Amino acid sequence: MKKRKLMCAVSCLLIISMLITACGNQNQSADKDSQGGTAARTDLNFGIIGEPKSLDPSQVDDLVPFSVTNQVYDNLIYYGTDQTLSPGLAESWDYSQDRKEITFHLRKDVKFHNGDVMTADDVVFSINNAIASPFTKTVTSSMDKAEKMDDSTVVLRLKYSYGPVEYCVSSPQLSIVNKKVYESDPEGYGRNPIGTGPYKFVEWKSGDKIILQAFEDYYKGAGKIKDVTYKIITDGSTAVVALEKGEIDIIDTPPKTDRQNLIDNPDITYYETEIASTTFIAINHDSELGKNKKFREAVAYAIDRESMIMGAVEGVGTPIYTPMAKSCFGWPEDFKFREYDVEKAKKLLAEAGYPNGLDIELKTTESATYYKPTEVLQDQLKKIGINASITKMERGAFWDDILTKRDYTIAVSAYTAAFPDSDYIYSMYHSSMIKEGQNYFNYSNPKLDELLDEGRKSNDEEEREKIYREVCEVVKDDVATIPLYTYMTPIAARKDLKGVKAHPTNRMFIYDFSWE
Amino acid sequence: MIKYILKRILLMIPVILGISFIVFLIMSFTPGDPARLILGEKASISDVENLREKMGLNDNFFVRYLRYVKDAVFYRDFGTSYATKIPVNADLMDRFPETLKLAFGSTLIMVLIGVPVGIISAVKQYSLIDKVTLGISLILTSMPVFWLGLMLILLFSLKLGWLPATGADTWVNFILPCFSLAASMMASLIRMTRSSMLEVIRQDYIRTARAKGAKEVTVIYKHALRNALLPIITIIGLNFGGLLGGTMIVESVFALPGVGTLTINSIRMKDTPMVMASVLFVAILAGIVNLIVDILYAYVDPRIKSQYAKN
Repeated sequence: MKKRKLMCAVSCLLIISMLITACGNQNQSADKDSQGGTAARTDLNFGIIGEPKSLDPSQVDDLVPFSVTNQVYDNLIYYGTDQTLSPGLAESWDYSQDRKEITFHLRKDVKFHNGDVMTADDVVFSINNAIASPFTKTVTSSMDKAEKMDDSTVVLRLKYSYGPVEYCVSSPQLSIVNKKVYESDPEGYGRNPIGTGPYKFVEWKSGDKIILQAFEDYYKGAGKIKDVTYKIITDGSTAVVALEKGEIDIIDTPPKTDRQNLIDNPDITYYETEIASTTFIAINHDSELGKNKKFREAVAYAIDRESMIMGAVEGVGTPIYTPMAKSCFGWPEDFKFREYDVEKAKKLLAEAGYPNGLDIELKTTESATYYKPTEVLQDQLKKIGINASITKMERGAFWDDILTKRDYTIAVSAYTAAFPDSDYIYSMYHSSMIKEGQNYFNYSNPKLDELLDEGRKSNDEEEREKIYREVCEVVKDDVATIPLYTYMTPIAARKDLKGVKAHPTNRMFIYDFSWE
Repeated sequence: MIKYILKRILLMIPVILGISFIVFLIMSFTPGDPARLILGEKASISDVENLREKMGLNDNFFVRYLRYVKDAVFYRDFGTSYATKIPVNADLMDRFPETLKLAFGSTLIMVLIGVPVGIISAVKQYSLIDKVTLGISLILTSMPVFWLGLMLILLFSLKLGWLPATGADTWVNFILPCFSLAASMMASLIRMTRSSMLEVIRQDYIRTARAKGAKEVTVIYKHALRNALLPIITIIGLNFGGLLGGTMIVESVFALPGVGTLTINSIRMKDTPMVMASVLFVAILAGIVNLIVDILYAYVDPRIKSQYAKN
């Protein structure tokens, strides 16, 4: 009995001491965080909401892997957070007379993270590998192939002269990889990336974290932040709590519902900028209703963009009247679409053959980017006599129906520009892109095709601006799609972290960061 | 007993095959295209079609299923993930230890609190303690796990700063998630322990033990509890087996890299090899846990042991 009581007491003491030690460690680390102001930190905990599928730049096409690959790799041309282009791994470049060839003169002092020196072979391989990949069509459609001229000169041959090509070359998908290592294990490269960027890959613990470390031999000099840990946090609310607590230092795209909370927090700085994206109503021009221009016009007049913005993004957005995003070259600032007019919408619906209204289905998916504006659209269509039932689908099923099977009439969609030039809408609106691109509206208009072709090939900026204004006119007149709004893309970071800047295409470079 | 165990293991084989067929069927015929999900929304129809062809997704369902079974049985190759292109075993084995920690931790908390509280509730039936414990267990079981988890994070992580909100670095990271899970499962254990104990403490042999002057603690813990254990072990076993499948909600809320989130994300990506591997792995584990529970029955109740031996 006495022995049992003694054992009990010892066990209790052990448990209490372990708890005290653990909590003490937590308090110490909290103290260390709070002492960040007095001793400059060199580590960074980055919260990403989602996990990359791969870190192979030519095999991915979304922001989550890009936030990591932007640190591990470099490009020939650098597109910074100040939205300007500058030399990267290429010291300089020049164009042929017909602007169908670009000759890049490579830097000679660049090393990969494994010590290999970057050569023209690596550059040629990386570009041709990206061109062959199905993930990169939005940025490589103009490219034919890259060829080595000598150890430090590469020529990129284009299919046609292409104005935005420099933005494309600066895309994360055209990052330069190590040819020798890649060819030895193409499938494994995405899990053990080797680049020339300011941060080298250290470890990837599936579902938990990705660790990077400053590359001391980086050609521009090592970054001030030495250790980066990407913490994979799939729940947005948890990520915000972790940021407030100091467990992470920065979140890329925190949930919009926490916006005011983060703005009001004195320890956090909230950055935001307009995203280079449009949210719009996609119309299937092969559907019975989609073919009916009066129906399309009726829906266009039924849209109250201000209410849409209030309901869909809590007022944090601006109306858009064009098919291209605002930050793109060629966007006509003063262009207006059809204004909200319920009576006109009802009249047009009657002329379309539905004087008593009609029932339609609105397909959407679980992401708030899609279902929130869909709910507002449902409400707005009701006012003109269209009873819309919402079918909320799982993402895969939604994409299958909308993008592949094209089994829809109208649906709210969103599209982010891969580069800040209006040519990006070519793959959405040109009739040749119905099967080969992203023209899931099945839209075919010879006049629009002609304009898009001209805009693509011209090098005269003034001429191109006129062309894209005309493109907006055609899209408006024919109601190819109905633009709705653009919203803000945010970053939330601890206030002591400097060098952070929101970017319309969510580019972020930890190399620019430092602790106060 | 050994024969019984071997028989149970052999019986698992058709069960696992049946599960593999059903899961493969569901993954093959539910909406969503893995090729589209891999390539993303900006991919063209022709790119998606080419990838489908390359992945063999256009082959007949039975051809694909039999190919999977052949590779799994004869080459122990469960495939590579469509999404990450790494062998499914690698990812699963990376994640499973975290799920195991979560399962063990939650079960331990559930047992350490649930069983004694159930016993006290039974012994002090209809008293204030009994009513309070039943009330608290009802409240705990009514709270959605994700809500409870977030509330615990807000209190213990953000306000008090005692415990971390996210991650799986040390055992401390598992305290809040384990409590969240244990709280939701505890009610059933408390009630089962209580009703099982009540049934036993009314038996004649308990009255005899008391009449013979045995201490109350001995009567309750040595005589009553032992005889009340069977349903308690069942509940614990069922809950533990379920936890081994991963708990996606808690893993998401606390950013724990477990099997639950892996399975759900794989289902969303229509990543059939990963889903098959996860589900089959969990099914096998559940079968093993059920077998262990049945063996424990034999050790708790000698009558059951002799039944196994006869069969």
